[in-house]
Amino acid sequence: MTRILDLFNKKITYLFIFIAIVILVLMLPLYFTSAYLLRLMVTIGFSIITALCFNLVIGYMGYPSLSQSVFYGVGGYTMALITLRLGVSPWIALILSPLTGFAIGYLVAIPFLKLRSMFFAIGTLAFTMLVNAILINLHTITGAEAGLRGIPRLVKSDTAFFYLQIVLIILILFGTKILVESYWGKILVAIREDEDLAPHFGINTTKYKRLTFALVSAFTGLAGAMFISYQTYISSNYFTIGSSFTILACTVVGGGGSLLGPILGGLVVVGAPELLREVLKGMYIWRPCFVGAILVAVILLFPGGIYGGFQKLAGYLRKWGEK
Amino acid sequence: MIFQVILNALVQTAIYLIISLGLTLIFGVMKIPNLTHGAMYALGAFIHYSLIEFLGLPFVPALFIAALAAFGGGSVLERVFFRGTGDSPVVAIICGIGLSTILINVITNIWGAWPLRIQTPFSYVLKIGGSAISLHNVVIIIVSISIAILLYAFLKWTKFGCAVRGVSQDQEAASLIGVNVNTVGMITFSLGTMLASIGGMFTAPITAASPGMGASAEIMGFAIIILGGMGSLGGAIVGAFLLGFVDTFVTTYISGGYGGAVAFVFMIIVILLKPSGLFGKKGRQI
Amino acid sequence: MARQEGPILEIHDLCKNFGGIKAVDELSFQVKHGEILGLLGPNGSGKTTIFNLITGVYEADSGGIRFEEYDITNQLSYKIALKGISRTFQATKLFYKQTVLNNIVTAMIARTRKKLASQETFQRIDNVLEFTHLENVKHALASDLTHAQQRRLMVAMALIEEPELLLLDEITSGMSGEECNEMIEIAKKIRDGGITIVLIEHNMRVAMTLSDRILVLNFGKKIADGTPGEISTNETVLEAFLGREE
Repeated sequence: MTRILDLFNKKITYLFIFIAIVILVLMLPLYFTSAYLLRLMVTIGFSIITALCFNLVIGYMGYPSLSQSVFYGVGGYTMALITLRLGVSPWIALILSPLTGFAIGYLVAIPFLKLRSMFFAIGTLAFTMLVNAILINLHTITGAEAGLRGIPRLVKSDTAFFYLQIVLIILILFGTKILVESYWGKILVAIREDEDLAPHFGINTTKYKRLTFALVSAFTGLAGAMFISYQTYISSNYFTIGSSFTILACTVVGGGGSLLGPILGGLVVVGAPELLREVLKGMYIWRPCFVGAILVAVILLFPGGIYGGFQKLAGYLRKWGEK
Repeated sequence: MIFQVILNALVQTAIYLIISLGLTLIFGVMKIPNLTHGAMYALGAFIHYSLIEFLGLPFVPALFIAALAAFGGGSVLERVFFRGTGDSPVVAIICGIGLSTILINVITNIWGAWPLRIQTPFSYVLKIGGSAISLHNVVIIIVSISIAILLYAFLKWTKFGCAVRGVSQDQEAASLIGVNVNTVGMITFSLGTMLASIGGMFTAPITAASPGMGASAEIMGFAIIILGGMGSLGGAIVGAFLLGFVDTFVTTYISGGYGGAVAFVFMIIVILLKPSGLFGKKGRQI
Repeated sequence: MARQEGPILEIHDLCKNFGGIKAVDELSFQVKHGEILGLLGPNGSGKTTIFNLITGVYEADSGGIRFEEYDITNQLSYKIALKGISRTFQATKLFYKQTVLNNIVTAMIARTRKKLASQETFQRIDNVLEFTHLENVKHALASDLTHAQQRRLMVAMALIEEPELLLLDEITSGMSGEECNEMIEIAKKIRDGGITIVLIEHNMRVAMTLSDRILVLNFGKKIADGTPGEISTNETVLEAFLGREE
């Protein structure tokens, strides 16, 4: 038994497990040929990507932003407007979307990151609603709630999108891992733990807060652009406070401040209710209830989320193995 | 013509006042923003509707019963979910969002997503000069003024009101002199929730009751109390007037959709420049 | 390190008001390279305010602060720290949820970046932990340390990037007699290593033992400047601390 537990101390074990999981995931579309399930997996994929990005801002840096859907929208409208009005390939729009996301993210960061905790949350909440109101009113440009149609797809099939997402998820996972384990990650944690103390050790908190926020906005925009290309349709309804809430739920439920947390969160928050739909047929209308209830339970009882729960479990197992 | 707009603005202000008084009360005492305010605003309207439709109760008695139900609901919310979150308002915010989602989902599943028409017994329309105002709207104005006066009297002259003010100033000091902070919190939260539900019950006959009706009410409520100072009753009154008039005038003269947007702009400007609001102090007292 | 010419820190005509209260009232003084300067005074005499002005926490209403050849008046805190001024705080400030090791690493990441995982870095960390008698608690959480250990951790974090000027704000507060002696020895070794120290102290024994020179403040103004011996017999000082017999 101890030999098996010993294996978990070696890094190479985790690498093998990771590669095995990736291979399994890549093979999923071959087995789940149902169009509905494929669509579900792609939807979960988008939630995971956005939650992974959001995790940096809320989990590591400690800033509870409720404006993620704004940057999702920035990327989405970049994709929609560039392809529809300029007739350009969606791939070009995809490359431009993180740039617009970064630019607007940086601009938003400048005033809003001066706020702390509760006021930051409320401020970004108000900002999201403001942007939503503007989007609805500028219907000549944005198509408002009725939306715009005919946005070209990056790749034709759902399966292809799924694989594109896997690539993006792996990239973001590794990018986040490198960032978090480097000096940047330690600076983010310092900001989260005591933002007033950090500058006394030479840390330029303002610069790192803004850069991190802008970076996260860039990738959120990228995800948004991909999402809109997948849907081939855009509407201001995609970018409401409700979407911010879903992203928040994925990150918090999965476990903020951990690398894998948002992935678990996305699977649970978006995936579980859908899968349970088959099991609890009539209960589908209670899906938002389910999501809300999990979020409340986690935030009050299990602040570490699912990942935090696993860590505790692992701790218990280790202690039990030592006996 | 402008007099008509002013009348409309007064009604809007009155509704906003009922909502924001409850919100600022909760924030002043419990130090948390209550994100279930909008959901309870909606729930109040729907319970009221059911009491009228299915139990055949008249408007006013049904209102009292529904308000009491909201009071009870608020107590449950406080006791089970919000107690102790005063130290981390972000937890309270996330919790509030989750609960709000649950409540709105429940409303949608029980009463349906289509807007419900609710009849008001005060349908007589008064004519003043060239303008018209329905009796229902006059009642709203009277009710909101009464609530403001009652609240003021309650806080200033009753023993419990003093306890509320004490807790909002310094929770620890209040508990040291024997105030039961938990009870004060629960009653305040219930009171605020009840006010929200009353707001919803009076608004429903005007705009029809739909599950999402609380969202814009709640966010306007936050805009008002942030402007006026979170925790300040006088600030809520000033803020309600300010935003009530701005909202009505912008909606009438500029464009329908931008009324709310202007409120958000105000709110963001205030949050960025002086988060404690026009009348708020750093101690966030009532 | 040989004593250099000119002051390491120069304060001239510094003013800071809070509402109607003059916390720092046209204060001027200098700190010489390599000395230990004690800042004494009754509560509210402006001592911590001076530290906050030097490290950029407060903005001065008027006057100037010069560090070596730099004018650091109203500069941003992180820039001042990077120039070579480190401090500890009156109320212990640490990253409580992190380990001692992580606290020290956080204190050094602003400057030591690329070589973060190198042998040299590990050695420096071990040296500073040994220096502040914290080598045994390297992997303990900062919140689990004793009060004195936490105070010493603040010192370790202030020392890791080898500052030229170290500001100690009542570092011995809450320490027992023995722990104070330990701290005195550490402070002496810091000075012997060439670091200039300005210390705020309420513990007279520590202040008198360590300081080469003492500055006494009252109501934001300097009322005495001299050696410990001179200060302890100064009339004005005694009056400020003990009051005058009416």
